[in-house]
Amino acid sequence: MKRNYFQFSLIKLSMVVLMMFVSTAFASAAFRVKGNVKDSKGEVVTGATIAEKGYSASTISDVNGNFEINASGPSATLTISFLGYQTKQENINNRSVIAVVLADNAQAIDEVVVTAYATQKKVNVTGAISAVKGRDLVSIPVANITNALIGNTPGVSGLQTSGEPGRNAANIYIRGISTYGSSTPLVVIDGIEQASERAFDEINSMDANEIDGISILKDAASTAVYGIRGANGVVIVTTKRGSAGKPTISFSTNFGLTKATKLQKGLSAYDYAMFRNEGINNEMNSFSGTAGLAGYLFDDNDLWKFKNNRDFTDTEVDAMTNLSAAQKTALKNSPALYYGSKNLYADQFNKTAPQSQSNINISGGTDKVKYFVSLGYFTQKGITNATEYYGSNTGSSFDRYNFRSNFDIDVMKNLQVSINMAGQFGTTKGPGTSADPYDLGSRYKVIMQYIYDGNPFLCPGIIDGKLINNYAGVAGSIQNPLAVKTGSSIGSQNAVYNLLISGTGYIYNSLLDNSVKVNHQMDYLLKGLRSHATVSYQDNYNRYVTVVPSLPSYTVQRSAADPNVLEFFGGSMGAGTFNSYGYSNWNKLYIDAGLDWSGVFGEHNISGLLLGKGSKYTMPSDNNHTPSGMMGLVGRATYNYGNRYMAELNVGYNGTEQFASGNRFGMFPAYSVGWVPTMEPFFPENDILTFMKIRASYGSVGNDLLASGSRRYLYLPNTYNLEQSGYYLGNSDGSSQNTYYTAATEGTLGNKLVTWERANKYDVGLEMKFFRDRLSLVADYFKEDRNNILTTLETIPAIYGVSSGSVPPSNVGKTENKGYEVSLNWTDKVGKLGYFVEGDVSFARNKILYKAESLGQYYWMNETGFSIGQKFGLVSDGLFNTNDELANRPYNEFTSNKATLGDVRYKDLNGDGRINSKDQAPIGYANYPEYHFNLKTGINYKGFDLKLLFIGTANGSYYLNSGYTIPFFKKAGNAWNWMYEGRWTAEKYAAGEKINYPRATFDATSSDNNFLTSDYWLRSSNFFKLKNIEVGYSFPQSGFLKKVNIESLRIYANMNNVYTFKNALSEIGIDPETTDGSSYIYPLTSIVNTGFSLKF
Amino acid sequence: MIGSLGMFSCEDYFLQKPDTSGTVDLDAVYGSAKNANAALMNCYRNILLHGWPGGWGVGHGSLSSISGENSRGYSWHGTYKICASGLSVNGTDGSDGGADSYSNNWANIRKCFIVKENIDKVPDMTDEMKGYIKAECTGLIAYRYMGMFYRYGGLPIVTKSFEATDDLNITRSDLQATLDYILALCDEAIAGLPQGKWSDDQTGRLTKGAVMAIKARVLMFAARPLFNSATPYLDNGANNNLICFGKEDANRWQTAITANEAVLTWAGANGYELINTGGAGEGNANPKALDDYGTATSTPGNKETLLAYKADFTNQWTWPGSAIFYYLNMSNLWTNNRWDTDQLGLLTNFLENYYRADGTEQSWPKVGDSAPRPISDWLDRINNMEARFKADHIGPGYQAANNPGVNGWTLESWNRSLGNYGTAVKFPNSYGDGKGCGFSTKYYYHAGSRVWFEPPLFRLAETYLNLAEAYNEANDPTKALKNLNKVRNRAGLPSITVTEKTALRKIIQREKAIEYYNENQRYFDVKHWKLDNIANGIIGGQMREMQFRYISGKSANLASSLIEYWDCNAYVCYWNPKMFLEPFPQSEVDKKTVTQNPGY
Repeated sequence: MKRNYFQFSLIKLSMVVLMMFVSTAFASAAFRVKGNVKDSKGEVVTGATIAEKGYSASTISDVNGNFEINASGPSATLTISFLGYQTKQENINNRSVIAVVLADNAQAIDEVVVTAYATQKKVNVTGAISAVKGRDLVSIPVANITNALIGNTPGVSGLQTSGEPGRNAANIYIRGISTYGSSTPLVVIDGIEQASERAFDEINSMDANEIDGISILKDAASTAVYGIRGANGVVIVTTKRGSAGKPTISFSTNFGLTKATKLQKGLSAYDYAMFRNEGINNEMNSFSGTAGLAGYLFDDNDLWKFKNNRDFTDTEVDAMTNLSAAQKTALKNSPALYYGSKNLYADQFNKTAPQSQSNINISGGTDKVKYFVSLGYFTQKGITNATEYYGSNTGSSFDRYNFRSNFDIDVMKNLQVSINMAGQFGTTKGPGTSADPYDLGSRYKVIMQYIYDGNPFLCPGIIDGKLINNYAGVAGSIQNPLAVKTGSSIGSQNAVYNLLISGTGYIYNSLLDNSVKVNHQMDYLLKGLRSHATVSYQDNYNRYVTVVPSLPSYTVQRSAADPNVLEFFGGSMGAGTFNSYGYSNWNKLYIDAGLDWSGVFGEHNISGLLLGKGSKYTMPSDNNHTPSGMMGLVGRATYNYGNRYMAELNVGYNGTEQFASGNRFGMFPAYSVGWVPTMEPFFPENDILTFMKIRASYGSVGNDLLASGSRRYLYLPNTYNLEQSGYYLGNSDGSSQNTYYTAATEGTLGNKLVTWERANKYDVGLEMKFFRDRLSLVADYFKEDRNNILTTLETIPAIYGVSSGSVPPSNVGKTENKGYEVSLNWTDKVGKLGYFVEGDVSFARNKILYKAESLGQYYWMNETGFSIGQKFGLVSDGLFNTNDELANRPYNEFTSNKATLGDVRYKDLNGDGRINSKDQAPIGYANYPEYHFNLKTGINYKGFDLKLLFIGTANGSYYLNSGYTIPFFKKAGNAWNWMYEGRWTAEKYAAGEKINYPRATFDATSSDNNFLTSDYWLRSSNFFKLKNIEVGYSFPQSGFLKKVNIESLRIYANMNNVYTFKNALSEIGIDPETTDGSSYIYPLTSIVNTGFSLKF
Repeated sequence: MIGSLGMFSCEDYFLQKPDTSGTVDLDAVYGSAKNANAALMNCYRNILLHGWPGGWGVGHGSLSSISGENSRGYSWHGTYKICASGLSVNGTDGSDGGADSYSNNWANIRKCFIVKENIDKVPDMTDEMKGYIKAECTGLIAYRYMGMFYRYGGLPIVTKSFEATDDLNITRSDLQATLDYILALCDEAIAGLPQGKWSDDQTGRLTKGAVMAIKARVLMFAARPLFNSATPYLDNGANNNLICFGKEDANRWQTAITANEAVLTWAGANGYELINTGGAGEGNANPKALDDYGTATSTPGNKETLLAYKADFTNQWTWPGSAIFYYLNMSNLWTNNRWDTDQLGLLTNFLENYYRADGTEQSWPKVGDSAPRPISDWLDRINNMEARFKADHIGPGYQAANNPGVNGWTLESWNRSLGNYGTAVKFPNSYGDGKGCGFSTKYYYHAGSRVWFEPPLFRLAETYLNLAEAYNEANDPTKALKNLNKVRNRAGLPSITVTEKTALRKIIQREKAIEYYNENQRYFDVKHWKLDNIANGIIGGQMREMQFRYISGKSANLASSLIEYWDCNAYVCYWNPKMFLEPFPQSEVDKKTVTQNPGY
């Protein structure tokens, strides 16, 4: 091998990338060359691009591997490239026929990865970095890049809080969670660090077509230069750039349909009534003082009506003497108004909604100016039904326009200026509420509360185009027969009505991102020396607008004279309301300037980097009304000897506004080494082990934020706030207010001594390739120790008089996080059929080693010693199946010991005969799983390709809060199929049937025995799903396409969230990729999508 | 290189906090009288809220819902949970433990100490005023200690605002030392406060009389049987002295008498008096009882009220007005989420305390009656009730007497159920779970459409009732009756003549219950009186409400719609003797500085 080929030089590396696009615009003296392209096994290579270096002329090899090209002269150099092979350069050397043999790309000796402030050859990298290609992101049809990353690379995973368009981004973590502070990774886009307050704003609004690739930096060696912010890992996004040559226009568009992945299955009105009667009877049979509940029972007539969807039994109709025979017949066949049955969940969320994305981009350039200009549009509609009524439109939707233009200008031979301009303009529309539009919990309560608080017959919805909010008839009369038995203390609210009156809320968001980067080669001072500087300004503007129309709503009843006739009352309209608020406008300035140098001395390759940077984030409406600042100095030195021995030193030196001058700056060094034994001269050339690298890194990174993230300037002394809410003084007799005096309050207390939270990270990695690179393996073991965690002590007695959120912060607390990632890839070809299988497993387990908490009497009462996010609750021990079990139970202090057969039985952990807070222990795992599995596989044959992605997790738990688990809440709330199917009854127990729900209860609350926080309601979130499929066909580069000058055309179909295998959450209708903690969740969605892309 | 290093000269630009934040430091607060007064206003705003909605830790409801006066509220209310399961060491619905925010007490005491310790720095304030403010802070600290004293027993004694470096390991002092400390704070405040009243525009600040009333109330609780006993309510081992004095000392009643008489003396000398304008003379029923009781409880700045919480907030979303008025004004004038207060009605248990206007007993239906009663019986009996009942309630079929004709306070405008109604309901069943049989109209006598009121903290009626109680316990029934009848007569009731100690004690306790309905006293009184049946329908046990059947299709609130009524069981409340005192938050106990009260 030619070792000098591997000189580490940024400039040359970029040249390699550019080669195949280089222009031949000025070709004059044509020299015709014929040729043939084969691979190393002698197979013909069809579709390889043959271009002359430095010119724009290019051609493609045909089905027999043959090509012809007009070169500029007999000594011209051809560049032959094809996906999956190493690009080759061949000097014509006066030949008229040349045979080209392309080597497999598997050795990927040229493969580069983007790292912090550099692009490195993959073989030389000593840190733990994984990369995702832009192409892989495009094939996942979702709105947000963070969602597309999940499953695409080991060590990155996340959960989603919502499936609503515009609000469905996933929260991603790199290598899990290792601090109870913020675990959000740092995002860097084209070298610009995003503000920690706005980590995902820009990346999640990017068009995947703009992205060349994403690197995930995971260990200290790769993240140390980000010091301050690198502790949670770094996501580096690189956008596409132009290369010299004729303009290439790419156009792609796709259209898809989304629907909910899972919906909670409701009960029919009849089953609901049966279940509710059972609950009422259980209460009456078990507890004294409940005789009055009999009034809520549905009688046999009611049950018949529910079952048959009628408001009257035949006997009742026959008894109506005022009706004609025809009227009676009609009435007997008239579907129920009062006894109807609706599946509220499905009715609201079962719509199939469109999504579409289009992108056009143009790239090209001359020797002096290169450009990439992209324009994208994305639109996604929500899956809620019944969204339009009069002026109301509560359907969710998200529309986004993106543009990005990247220019690279060679101002002089040794001076390049790059100008990046990007804009993202989004409109997020959805039900309007007066609440904070970003507070999803309260938003979804508006959308969904009455799905849970209502029931299948409470809500007639829209009848004859009229929105019904109640029955007109007197409760208890035949014109409103169920109101009394329903006994709802919530009222006759109705899910449809409630959604419609919430109006419409719009978030208009514009984000502009401009940066200028200057590169200056300083070979005149020292060969390989380069200086560079960057200035970036991001500006985001948000406006939230709500439009709440006044809607006509009606009450309805069957006419007393002829019940076949419906009578409507009401329908008046008032004035609507309109509100407009500015929300979270922000801007950020980032600048950096630095020097780097690389040199080659025989087998020694040396490089260095020194860079200073600063940024200032301003959000005018934040509580401090002041910008937040960060600055740092970055240093790096790399050395490699013959691509065999590598060593790197990375140093971040960072300052933050959080700490006092003196403690403000922190030094974060990281060291890494690597060895490639297969490059050793003594290593025998063989086909079995073709590549091997061993690498190790150690270093520290820092964090300057408290867990809450909201406190600033932690070092400042006690702060006071003036003009706070005050008090009245005076002797008014109430006919007028007294005089108001504003108050001054003490704010947060500072600590001059606080300083950096530190993470010491260790990583050992092994990379191997076997069987002529068909099989590759990457394995990493990592460990992270967090020390001096920034926290507010929970051990300060209350007599201090300062709330725990305002006490002086300090550096205490220790956590560890360790785990591994293993990834295996098999890529091969059988004849013309190419295929690959790639699987990876990542595991991360964290533990709180010390937390400043007040210690409970038993170890299980403390967080110390358990995972971050560990759930605590009572430990269940099945249900009370026998009277013996019931009689011998410990006294339950939470419920005054109220329990009966079929109720949840709890363990008395400390054996004191009482169930109380001392028996609340760790239950299950944290919501965020410990194991993540990804399995990717694909085939390609001629122009066809197929790619599948499976993902799964293990060791995660999902807590079903009481909104999910309590039936008949406030007497008339909803109940669900899984409860009914799984409920305890004495008969089912005796018959040995499967029971996974306690006995039926009525009007229960979260303080009743069965609904106390316990592991009975903790479900495993383990799942395995077919996350993504893509199938496509690329038309051959001949015939018609060639005639109309189309370079490539591909049609494809893909699906996301395709199929989830049965798991513990299936029956409850929860997608296991949802975060827990709320029952009001907009369901996650799947999509079936088709599209095409065109290049000319 | 130059660029990157040069950037470090910009440290201030990037990292120094710019001076634009609106926050200031201690020096700025005590650099002007205006700002220092603002700090004092913060003390008043927060200290005096204690126990009122918004100021007792529990997120929903008022103390009345856990003392058997009003119904327990909705299932998500802390009061409902406390009724169901008692006081929790982990807090309920926002409290950090029991039915209080323990940490909030100390946070507010800290505020007062900071003002007291720094007020001398203020350049533009007279020394006289600085002295007054220090005394006010001391008095406010005493007020909060008073509240903790009868909730918790012995307390950590805090004498300053702490620095982070101070030793915070201060354990509970015994009950006597805690009492002594509170009395010392009171005496210090009384000595330092101005003679007489504040100027009109400063009315509402602590007076000598108000602090005397703090002292008098503290001494009443010190004399009552829960603390003033040889044996505690539950054995607390070596820590018995944290929850009881260790011997019953009759002299404590004498001390209480002295302190209460001092309040009356000061009040008389400074224009405060029990409002009785009927002119019927000593010992006779006041013909203007409704008006006088209404004024005393409702009219801001009335001359019976020694201290009130001045919360004149008109915006229904402004805390703490939004909490206070939310739970104490259920009229149609209050529009902020008022459906949430739908289950806070008057319980039959408490209704039975009221007298008929002539002072005789009312005969209400009982659970177990053989038949329901016609609604005419209900309306008749309501019509015969004493003035305080009429001033304080609106209910099924009966109008509020407090604001006749004011829309929002009428049955017609009430806009939601005032009682537990049904059309198909059959005697003796109950369909409800605590709607009650009337809603409070207290504090809004002749308030018209005003939504705010000033919660009275010390009314002279309390002083008279304290004296009645203390004289009776001190075996002086003559003086006891004299003081008791002051309050009874003002309420339009004839004088009591019973002199037997036990019987008179019951009458006095009943009088306190009626006079102070919904006024944050009963929850503590019944515990410290150690009432025999506290577990049977007072705090714990069966709660009852009236059930009404009405004519299908009519508006149930109106008298003409109602058919019949009966008493029924609504729900059962939890009681355990440990609840005589509140628990300390478990998180506090875990810090190993305070010892928990027994039973928790």
